[in-house]
Amino acid sequence: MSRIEKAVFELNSIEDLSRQNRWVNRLHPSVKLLLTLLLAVLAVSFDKYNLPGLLGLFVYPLFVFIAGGLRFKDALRRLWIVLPLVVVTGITNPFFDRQVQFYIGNFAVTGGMVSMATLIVKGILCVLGAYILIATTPIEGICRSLRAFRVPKTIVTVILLIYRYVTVLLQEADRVTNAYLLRAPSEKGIGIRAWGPLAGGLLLRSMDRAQVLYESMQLRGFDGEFPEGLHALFYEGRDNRRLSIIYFAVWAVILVLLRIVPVAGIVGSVFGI
Amino acid sequence: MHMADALVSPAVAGTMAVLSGAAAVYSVKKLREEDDPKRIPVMGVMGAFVFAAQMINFTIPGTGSSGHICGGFLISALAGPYAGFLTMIGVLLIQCLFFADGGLLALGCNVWNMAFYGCFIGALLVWKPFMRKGATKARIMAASIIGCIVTLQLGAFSVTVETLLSGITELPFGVFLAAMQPIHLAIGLVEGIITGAVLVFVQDARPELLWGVEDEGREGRFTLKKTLVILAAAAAVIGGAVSLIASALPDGLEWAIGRVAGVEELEAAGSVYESASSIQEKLSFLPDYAFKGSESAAGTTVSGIVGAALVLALCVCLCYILRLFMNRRTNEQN
Amino acid sequence: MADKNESCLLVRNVSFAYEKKYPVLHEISFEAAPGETVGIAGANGAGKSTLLKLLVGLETGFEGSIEICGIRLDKKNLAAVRRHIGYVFQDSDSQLFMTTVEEDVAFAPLNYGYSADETKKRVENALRSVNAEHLAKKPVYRLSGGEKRLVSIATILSLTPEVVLMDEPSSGLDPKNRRNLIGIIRDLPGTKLIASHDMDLLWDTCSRILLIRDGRIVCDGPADDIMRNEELLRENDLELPLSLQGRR
Repeated sequence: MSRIEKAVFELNSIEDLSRQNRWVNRLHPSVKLLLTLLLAVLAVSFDKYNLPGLLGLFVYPLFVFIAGGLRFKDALRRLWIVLPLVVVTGITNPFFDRQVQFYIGNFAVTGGMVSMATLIVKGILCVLGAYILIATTPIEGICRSLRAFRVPKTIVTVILLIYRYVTVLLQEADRVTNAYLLRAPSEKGIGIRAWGPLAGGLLLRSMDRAQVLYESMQLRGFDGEFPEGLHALFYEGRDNRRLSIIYFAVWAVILVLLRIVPVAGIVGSVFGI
Repeated sequence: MHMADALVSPAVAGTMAVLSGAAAVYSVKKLREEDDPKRIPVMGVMGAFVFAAQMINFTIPGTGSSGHICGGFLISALAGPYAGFLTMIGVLLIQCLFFADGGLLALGCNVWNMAFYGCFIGALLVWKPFMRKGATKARIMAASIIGCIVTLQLGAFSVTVETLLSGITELPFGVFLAAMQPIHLAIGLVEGIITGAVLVFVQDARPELLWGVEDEGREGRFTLKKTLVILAAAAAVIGGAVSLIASALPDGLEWAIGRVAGVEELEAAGSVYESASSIQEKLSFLPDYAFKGSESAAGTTVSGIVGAALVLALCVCLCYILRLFMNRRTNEQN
Repeated sequence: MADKNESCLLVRNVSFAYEKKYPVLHEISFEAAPGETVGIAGANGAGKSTLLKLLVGLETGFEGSIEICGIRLDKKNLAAVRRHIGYVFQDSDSQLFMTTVEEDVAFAPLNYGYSADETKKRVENALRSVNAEHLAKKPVYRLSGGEKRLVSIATILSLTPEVVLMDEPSSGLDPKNRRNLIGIIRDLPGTKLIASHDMDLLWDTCSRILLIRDGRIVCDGPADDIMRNEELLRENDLELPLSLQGRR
């Protein structure tokens, strides 16, 4: 599978997950969006040596994974994208911060090792946080909630249009690159002579598509703005409002508590470790 | 160049989100003034195009690696900076949600580092002045290369500053910068050429699609000369500031913090203080470039060699990993 | 042929050119009665698509006059005209721009000011008339080509137009989807104009054929006469419908 095909595959699989009919999917999108943001804020606000405290935050993603029927295997792919960046940024910590924090057997664990591990765990938490949002909430839901948070309509409409056409154009890009590579078997990418024509051709076809799109919108009464109620029309009553509020309150409290109270330490001391 | 959530502190993320948000609100306002109903479909489809086109690998002749188009600059050269900026927000949001490129928390940073520079600096300060006297192949190519290099340099610089202010890395600012800027100089050059090739093709086939191309005679706000002067001045200021900070960073920042706080040594408190003190800590790894307890010249030499080798190895590794990473991933980064 | 008063589509002496030197349509005149299904046949580049675009006001600056349901088409009353006439594009992917089917079908009624309840009802009816109720909640980009074509038609039907224009409705469809589409077109109410070079599709759906070549109507008559006239078709770079070829 080419990288573009993989991307389309990834989009499709998330799309399918997000439209499942589980109760997590029916929670109000704003609730899930806010909790994901809260999770990320709390995670990155942890001290760079506070690995145990950070680990406590995993309860939320774990919960949604189980309740939403998500698979860790699917989420792993995304970790591969973020981890290199995080590791590169943190890899110098063990070299610079060599103060021994504690020993595991004879092995001295330094502050730098801990802070690097903490950074990696933060990265994992944030990626999982975004994943559980997008894998349980269709894009229209997220956009509806962006509207509720006063994100300008132009941006929200454009996000939806981009999302709608990403797959169409990815597939087209895949076709043109494949057509090129099939006739240039020894090349790995697009050769310099074809840079402009290949991408430029795709661009011109995209512009033509935008023109037809505009005509199609015009014919159906479009005059510059999408009708306001459109995104909400089919969702009224579909979210479980009361449950959403309770869900948000409970998880917000748990997550904040996990940030404030050193639960891991307390549990450890209870067992006399 | 996408920053992950884990690499920013809430304060930095919040600040950048506010800055990017302000730019977005301004763009929406400007766009409304222009009042072109066709904008919406064009932005949507072009956003998807940028997304897809950034996934195409363009082989760089003579090397084994490949480059990509510079989305923010390209889209702004076609749709203008305001529409381009808003479209890039959409592209970056979808990338972070669906492909884990960047993150929701770091979205403000990423929008600023990639979209803001690419669309506003790239299109308004570079593309437009170049197109003031009409579009020629040479001008398009030059604008594209300069635009991409400038925007990527600014972006890389912002990434470094944001990471440092977030107190994430123990890496000294200077070293981080020394790793980031040259890599992005090369990436900017390659992306500029690829993006230029696409724009030249468009000019050939459908010149009316290019944004900001003026007929000769009409006076633009920025002339080419003015722009070059501004850019040179900006480069000098940034370069000067960078080298100043880089050379003086541990001492200078510590000194500044000490003066502000009125104490010499600070307990780690906020992220800025923390990063400053951790920089101090890390420098004591090889204090005075000598092994602890060893006063001999041999010790100094050894530590000097080790230190230099370490820094070099680190730089090489970092460059390698970064490049690998930049190439391998979609590199949507503008 | 329909009486002048009854016709809901009236085209008089229409000529059009994108660039003055290269005229695309010359002196086109025809009319269509309510409920009539008219095929516009012609080879590639004959001017079929341009004619359809003129009728919905996507191209302006033509000579002559066009009247739809008694409203004369000009720049000022485009919205009013488009309330009565729907246009199904050849490329469904460019026509369906919302992320889910139901939102796409709801786009037109909401734009024309129908209430939320009325819009929902219209979406339901439109999808039912193309046998696609089950697709309502589906994301558009997961539809098959055939499904996309049906939904495209539904997005037009949600305004219950008196006239429906279709540009190459059968292009890219497999035989089964094509057959299904033919059945649906036959059942659609209202006046239909179908531009195509798929002669079998026209044979199966249209009672009358306008034959266009180089922007001129060369022949206007009952499908039965034109479709069996092999010589006429060949002169215009077309072929007999396959279903008639065996019976010659």
